[in-house]
Order: sequence, then structure tokens, then C-alpha cells
Amino acid sequence: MINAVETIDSTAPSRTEADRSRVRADAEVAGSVIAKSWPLETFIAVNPLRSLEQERFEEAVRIAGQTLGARGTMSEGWYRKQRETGRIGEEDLRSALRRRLGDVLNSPPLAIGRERFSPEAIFLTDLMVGEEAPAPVRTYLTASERFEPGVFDQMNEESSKWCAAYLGAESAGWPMPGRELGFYSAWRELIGLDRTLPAKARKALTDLPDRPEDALLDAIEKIGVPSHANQDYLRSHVGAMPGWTSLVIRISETDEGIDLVSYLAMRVAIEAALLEAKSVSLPVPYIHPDSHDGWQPAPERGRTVAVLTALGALPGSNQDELSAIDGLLAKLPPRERTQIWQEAYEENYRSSLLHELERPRDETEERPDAQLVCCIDVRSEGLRRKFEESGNYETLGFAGFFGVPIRYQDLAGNSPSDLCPVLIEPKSSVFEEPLQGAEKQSERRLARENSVTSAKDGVHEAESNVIAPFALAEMSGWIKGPVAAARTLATRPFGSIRSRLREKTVPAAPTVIDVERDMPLDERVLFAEVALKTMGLTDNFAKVVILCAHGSTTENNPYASALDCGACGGHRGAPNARAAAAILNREDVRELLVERGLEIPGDTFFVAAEHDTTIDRVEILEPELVPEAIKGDLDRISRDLDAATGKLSLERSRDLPGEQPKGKVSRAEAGVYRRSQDWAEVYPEWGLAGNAAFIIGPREMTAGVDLGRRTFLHSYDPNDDAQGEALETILTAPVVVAQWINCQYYFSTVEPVVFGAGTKVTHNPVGNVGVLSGPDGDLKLGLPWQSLADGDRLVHEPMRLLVVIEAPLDRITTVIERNPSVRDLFDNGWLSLAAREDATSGWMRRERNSEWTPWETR
Amino acid sequence: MDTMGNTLETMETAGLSRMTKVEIVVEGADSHSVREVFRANGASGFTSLSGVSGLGHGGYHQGRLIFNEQATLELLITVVPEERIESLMAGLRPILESSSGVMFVTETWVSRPEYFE
Repeated sequence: MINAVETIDSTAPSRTEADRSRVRADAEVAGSVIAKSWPLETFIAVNPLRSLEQERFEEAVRIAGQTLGARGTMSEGWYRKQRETGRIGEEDLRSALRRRLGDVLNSPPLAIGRERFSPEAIFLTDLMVGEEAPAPVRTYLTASERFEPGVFDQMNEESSKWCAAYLGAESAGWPMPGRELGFYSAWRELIGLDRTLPAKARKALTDLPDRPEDALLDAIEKIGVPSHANQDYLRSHVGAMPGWTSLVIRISETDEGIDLVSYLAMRVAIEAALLEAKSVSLPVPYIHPDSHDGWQPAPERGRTVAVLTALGALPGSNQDELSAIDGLLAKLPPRERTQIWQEAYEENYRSSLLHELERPRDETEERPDAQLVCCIDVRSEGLRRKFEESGNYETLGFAGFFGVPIRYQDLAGNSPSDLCPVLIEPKSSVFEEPLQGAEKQSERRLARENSVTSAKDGVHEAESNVIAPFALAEMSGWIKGPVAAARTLATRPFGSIRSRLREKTVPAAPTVIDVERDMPLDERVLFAEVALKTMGLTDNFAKVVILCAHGSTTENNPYASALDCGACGGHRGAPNARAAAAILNREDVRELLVERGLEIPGDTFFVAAEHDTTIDRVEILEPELVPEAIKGDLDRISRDLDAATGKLSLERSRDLPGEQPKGKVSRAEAGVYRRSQDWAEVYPEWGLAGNAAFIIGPREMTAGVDLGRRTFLHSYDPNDDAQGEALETILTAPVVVAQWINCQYYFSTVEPVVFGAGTKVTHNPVGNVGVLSGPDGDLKLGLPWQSLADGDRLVHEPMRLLVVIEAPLDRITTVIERNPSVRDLFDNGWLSLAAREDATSGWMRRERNSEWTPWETR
Repeated sequence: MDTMGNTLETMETAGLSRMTKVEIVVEGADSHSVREVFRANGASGFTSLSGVSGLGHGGYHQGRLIFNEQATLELLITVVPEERIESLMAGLRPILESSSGVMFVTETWVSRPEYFE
């Protein structure tokens, strides 16, 4: 393929505000090929191709291939292995082929000699024997990448170095000099001192204009990019280092003095300066990005021959017959075969799941002894199943912020945290306060906590300083050495001792959450109403309703927040559970809820709790607030919860590397505890690995079915939602967050180099913003390999999310049609949808053209 | 005098100054980009209305959603002197070309022009 070449006159005109405005917008659009990513300290799962969700999945993947060199599916060889092991069945492939090729498969069988072969048989054979397409390569290339690869590498090193200095160094206690000037100005001030660059390049960079837009335009023109190609050219720079770009996009929203224009100005200016210093004659010819990556599949005839050879029919064929098969196979380009495989892979799981949900169910209306409301997180499924097995208990699923978006201020006065999905911003603050009568205890706790924090900060600062670490090692090595040895060699005892020590040093002090200071009563009532109605908890309240948040306890884990609650912005959800319980227990709220058709019985009490997903413990958070009348009940429920979580530890241990598959509960509990305390453990838990479906409906749909901790479960009562408001809330918020999570796991698995974070073994944290793999390079996106796989064994099966709904189909259609962003997700193949009218109806599939067709389960 | 001339005279007699009003409807997820273009081009302020509903070439758009501010449409309005329009449009056009949204640009009159300079 010959690329179009263009040359321009490089005489630089004077800049107008319109020029600057245009290049800013060009940078913005160029950056849209990759989604913004959050710093590690508040890790938010995102679909790395979120900005491309208005495109069909296949098209988005093609764009990602061109710009990022990223795969969007597994390799064909991998799928063929799944076919050999039975993970993909022939029926799954047939189903995927039918949906993709439709009428093509209905054409008459083709004659080869004396035999006849159906189109389906020919495609099925081609899927197994066709020449495998290689991984995509980037076709959006920078000038240095094309003409002087050494410059490209050096530019990337420089970019990483300066981004790390600006974005990462401050949190490590050593801010970049001149940081207050903003990224571009601070970098321009310092670049003259960078001896890794040739003197000529340093001089050119020191003389850059004051405004980053001007520097960017100058560099682009000097390199020889025609102005109409600016977006494409900037996209080639974005694609070269998507990790840093995506962080810069996010940080630019927080007024930190860095944005895409200043970042790209730095990159392209370095590129131009280095090319000149290498005596490359600028401008270089501009080569438009190619729409193909250069891979030429074998001619159709070769494909046909391979198919007929596999079918044993080649010897009897003639030219006309071969041509007919050439024409048939051309309907499915080889690059697109992996899409068929992917759909077949998903079909296998989905059909089986839907079949499981077709069994008869128990719909008793007896008042349960307790209701446990858990987050929709897939990890809750195991807890709910085990807890329900232990008594007359009902469980429900709702987003783990419990419908209360809050800015949380803790007792210690740390920086407030936004505890809600990132789709919204909290409008109200809540405050942790001493329990009435416990003010003195709180003062003691605070004083001790401040002392401990100050000591920790002092050590951390000394560790981060340039010279101090040497003195620190001399002074503290005698104690830190043995402590490090104890942490490594006796993880569990060390953890227990440390916990006890902390209890003694920082005594517990009962606190409450003040929800009234900043949140008006009508808002509290609205939150309560929406939460209860959306999860369908509108009657048959138990005496004890536990709102069970979740969080994770791990050591030395830069990805710790990825294991916390996604619905709480990557934080532990305990404050939300406490705030929601505080709201729902208030008389004034309950009185107003009655006016809205919600009557909570007087003997019902909401209890806040938190599930630690690493160690499988459920802690009752505010025992002091529990009324005497239900203390006995709660003790019994707590014992059942302990038993349930023990069994859950045992179940989870079967999948955790190095654990005994058939051990005892006590051993499993000890094992998961050790993992949570071990600072060298790279598999503390599996997080949301395996996530594959999002089920919306009453618990009766799924109760008693072992869903393998792979499904998000959102409670929903279609009988209480005639207008579809609750369903709309679920589809536009929790489903969207779950889809981000799902896509992050999916893309981190199929493309661990570009979209994943690689192996933890070589991780090198950059402050608290992200990790590098080794000393430099791009900031890693997505999840580390140890969150997805155990060596070569994938623990996360890469599948796009299936949404399963039990509700009238007309209602589902109406809600989807009036929310284009949700409609895009279904129409473009980012999500799939199975639904049925009620428990007795068959499952229907929403096709991408929005029609409903029967789903054949098996 | 033509109608335009009459309008100009009437407005000026009433102590009003001519400005240009830009109204944009975009998805909440894109509103930050639009606000950035406003800011970078010297718009002294803007008004935004989130959760607006309507019917467009992409079909009907639901209004306010309870737990998603990014999927709903947002109406952003700014008023700038005429000389800023060229650079403002240069910045907005690529963004609108790459995402869904509509823009309306109209002449408007303000009583305190210094607020918009």
C-alpha cells in the first residue's frame, strides 16, 4: 500500500487567537481516541475506548488498532483452543455466524465435485483452518517514528520523565521546580538544563514561545504537517503514549496546570528539536495514516483451498466451483473472524446462564428474619448465596453507595472524599462526629491518631527526600530491618500483633454520621425513596435490614482502590452505608416516606455493615446505635454471617493461587487473612475477575443458583415500576458503571500491553498517580496481569457484559429508546441484552437493530 | 433606514450594546470541553442548564437522570463581543464535528457590556 504524501510550505505565519483555539480543539479531538483515566489513589474502572462508544464495537476496535496498535479480541489461535476444549461449542459458532451473516447462510449448498457443502459448513471450516490475522499495528505514526526511530524513543523517554516529574513527584514529596507556573512553563524553564538532550535541541527548546498553542503550531509546521492534518498528527502522538495522555485528560479537569495542549506541545516540540539536532531535513514529507496496517491476507483462492483441503473435497473441484466458494468466503473478511469467535465464546456462557435461570422458583412472602442489602458488585453474590443458605434471610442488591451521593468528612479532618459513582457529583456533605457521650474518647483517639500520622508522615517525608533516606536508614535500620523480616516471614502473626498494637495505641471511639447539617430533609427523603423503590424494597421489611457496604484490606498494593467499591468512587463504602442507615432510621424521613407510598414498620431498624472482600468478614459498623429490642436478633444474624463468610473463604480459596482446594474453613480463613497482610502478595483477591452479566430483577430469579461470583445483581420489582423510572435509573447508572468495569477487565485481558498494566513484578509507582513498567515508558492503563490471570491461566474470561432483565419488553424498549447513550451501548455491541416479560416467559434477545428474537438456551 | 438599522438605533437608544450569544447543547460528558473553549477564548462567564430533554437527529433524549449527569444533555450559553466569535467558533467546530450536539449563534443585546468584555 502506498501512502499519500504531502509537502507544505513551512513559512510560519503569525498566530491568531483563532489558530490557537483551533489547535486546542484539534488536540482535544485527537485525545478522544483514549478515555480519561483516574490517578491510582482513586482508581476508577473505565472503558479505555469509552470515547468511541458511539461507534460499533468492531469499528472502535479497528480504530484502536490503527491508533494504538491494540487488539480488541483474543487471537484466533486462542479461540481455536477454546473450541478444542469445548469452551466454545459448534452450536455457539452456528449462532454467532447466523447473527453476523444472516441470509448468506440461507443460500443453497455449493457443489464441489460430487459433494455439496452448506455455506455454514464452509464458514465453520474456515474458522478453524483459515490463516490467522496478525495483531494490528499502528498506522498513525509520528514523523520521528517513520524517519528517525531513535528520536521517537528519546521523545517518549523525555515525555515520561517530565510527566512523572510534574504529576508524580509532588505526591512523593518532591515537587518539580516551577510547578506553580503550570506544566508547559515549568518544563520550558528547566529543559535547558537537561543534559540528556543535544545542545542544539536544548537551545531550540529554551527559545520556545510563551504559549503552548504557539509552540505546538510551530513544531507541527516545522515537521511538515499540513494544517488540515493536525488532528491526525496529534492522534499519532496520543497513540504513542496513551497512558500519560489519558491521565493528562483527567487531570486537566482539575485545574492542575496541565492539559493536552501543553502536553502535546512538549512532545512535538521535543520531536522537532531532536530531528533538527539529528540533521534531519525539516519539513519531512507528511504521510497520511493508512486505513490498513499492511497485512495482506492470502488471496481468497488460498483460503478456499485450505477449507476444501480440510473438508477433503479439494481433489474433485473445478474452477467454477472454487470461484463460487471464493465469493462466499469474501463475505467474511479474515480480520473479522475473531468477532465471530468472540460472540460464540460469549454465547456459550450466556445460553447456559439463561438456562439456569429458567428453573422453577420459590416466591414465598414470609417475613424474613433479616434482609441483607449488598452492593451489586459481583463479589456480593457469593456472600448473599452463603448467607441465604444459613437461615430465613433475604438479600437484595443495590449500588454500594446506597443511593446517597456524599462528600464525606471523617473525624480526623482528612481531605473530604466524594463517595458516589463518578457519573455524578455529590451535592451534600456528611460528617463523622463523636457519639453523644463519647466526646472525650474521641478526643483521645484523635490525639493518638494525629501522633501516629505525624510519625508516619515524618518517616515518609524522610524516605522521599534526597539525602534524608541515608540518615534514616542509619537511625532506624535496627528496628525496620527486623520488622521487615517479620512482615515477610511471619505475615499472619505480624498482622495480628499490629492490629492489637493499633487498638492499644489508637483506642476505638464510637462515632456517628451527621447527615442533617448539610443535607436538607427533602433531599434525604428523596434519596431514601429512590433507593427503596429502585431495589424494589417497598414492603415486607424485616426487623433487621443490614446495609452492607464493601471494601478491601491489602498491603503494599498500588491497586488497592481497584478492589474497593466502584459505586463509591473507588473508596470503601462504609460511610455511605452509615449515612443511608442514619437517614432511613429517622422518624421525620419515615413520616414523609409514607406520603410517597412507602411505609417502613416501626420495628424495622437499618444497620450499617461492611464486607471486607479480601478476608470475607462482615463488620457491624455502629453496634452502639442498635436498639436493645433487636440486639439478640442481631447477635444471631452476626453468627450466621460469620459462618457464611467462613464458607465463602473456603469457596474463594479454591481459585486463589497456592491455597488448598479442599481445606477446612479455619484454614481458608487463615489463608485469606494472610493474603490481606502480606506485603509481597500479588494475588490478594480476584476482585471482579470473571464478571460477565448484570441481572436486573427480583432475587427469586437467581436465589439458589450458584452464579460463581460473576454477576452483578440489581434487585428490581417490575410490578412496582409501571412508568419504568426505576429501570431507567438502573440502566443509566449502575449498568453504565458495570459496563466500564467489564470493559476494563475485558480490554486489560485481550490487550494487556496497551490496555492493561502488565505484570506487578516490574511495577514502578509514580507518586500516587500510576505505575510504570520499569524505570520509564508509558504510564500503565487498566489492570495488572495478576488481577486477571494466574500465570498463563486466565481467571477473567474476556466477555462483554450481558444485561439480563425481567420486565415487560415494551418498558425496556421505551427506556432504552429515550436514553441514546444507553441505546448506543446496546446497538453498537458494547452490551448485550436478554429479557423476559415474567418468570414464565421465554428469554428474548435484543438484536442490534433493536428487534426482539427468541433466545435458544442450552 | 432599513429594518436592521432601525433595530440598531432602537437598541442603542435604549442603552443596549450588541453582543453575540452562543448556545450549545451537548452531552454532559462533553460539557467540560465546551467550557474549556469558552474559557480559553476569553468568555467572561457562561450559564449551564443540565438535564435538558429534547428531540434531535439522534432521537428523543430523556431529561434529568437521578444518578447520571454525564449521559444527559446540557445547555451551555455564553455571550461574547463579536470580535471573539471567530476564535470561539474555531475551537467549538472540531468538537461538535466529533461528537453529537447542536449550536445556535445569535445577535443579542446587553445592558452592561463590560460584564462580557
